[in-house]
Amino acid sequence: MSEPETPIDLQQVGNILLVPLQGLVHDELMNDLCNEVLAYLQYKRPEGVILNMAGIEVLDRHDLERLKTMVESVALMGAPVVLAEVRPGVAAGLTMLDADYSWVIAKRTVELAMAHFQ
Amino acid sequence: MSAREKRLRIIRSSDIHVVVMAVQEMAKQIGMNTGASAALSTAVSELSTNIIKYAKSGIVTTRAVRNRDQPGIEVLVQNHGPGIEDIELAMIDNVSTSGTLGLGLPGAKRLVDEFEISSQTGKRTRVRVVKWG
Repeated sequence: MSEPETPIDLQQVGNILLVPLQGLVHDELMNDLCNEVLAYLQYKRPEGVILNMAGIEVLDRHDLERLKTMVESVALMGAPVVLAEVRPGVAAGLTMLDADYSWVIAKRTVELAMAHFQ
Repeated sequence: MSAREKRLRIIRSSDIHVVVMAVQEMAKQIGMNTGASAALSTAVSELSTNIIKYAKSGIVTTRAVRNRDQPGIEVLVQNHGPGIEDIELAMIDNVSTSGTLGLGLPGAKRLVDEFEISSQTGKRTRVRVVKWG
């Protein structure tokens, strides 16, 4: 099996896959990202995935649903997903929107997210 | 149209991000604080997504406004979609008429300082929001 191409900057640290998200979470990005991460999981088999949210400035309920779909797909492949470094504006916005984020496992920093998997 | 006003068309989902970026850029230009900018951007993203989901296309107009010394941004989100039959019902949390996420209007209202909505069934919906800061 050949190594999948990864236009999105996926980085593996130990047994954990780090996925930095940047900009805005639109349909195409999430579809591409989901495919990339699933292909990576099949090829490298990391034990967990951390989505680094530091580069996401705006997230509405629909974006969160897209993210949830990806997280559920990844979880079905046996890799739990932790969100790290969610910005204050994103957290406040989702709370105000009364979004359902009950499925989210979030840690303040990437380091704390890494520790979650130890 | 002045440099402090932008009119953007929404036809596809990628247009939402152009609108959000326009709001963020305007917020930076007028010196709006980051919390207010993020809140307004989130509200506009939510309202713009409704255009794609329910009306197919629409127009978003952003305008820099000022109240004494306080900078602000006014955003007008308009579409000629099916309209909203019962606005009062749509303004209640967790009400969806289509089994989906719903319109998110109460949440969008909480994120801004001023919120006005008008709609004519079968003709149009117009939402005006203002955020100060």
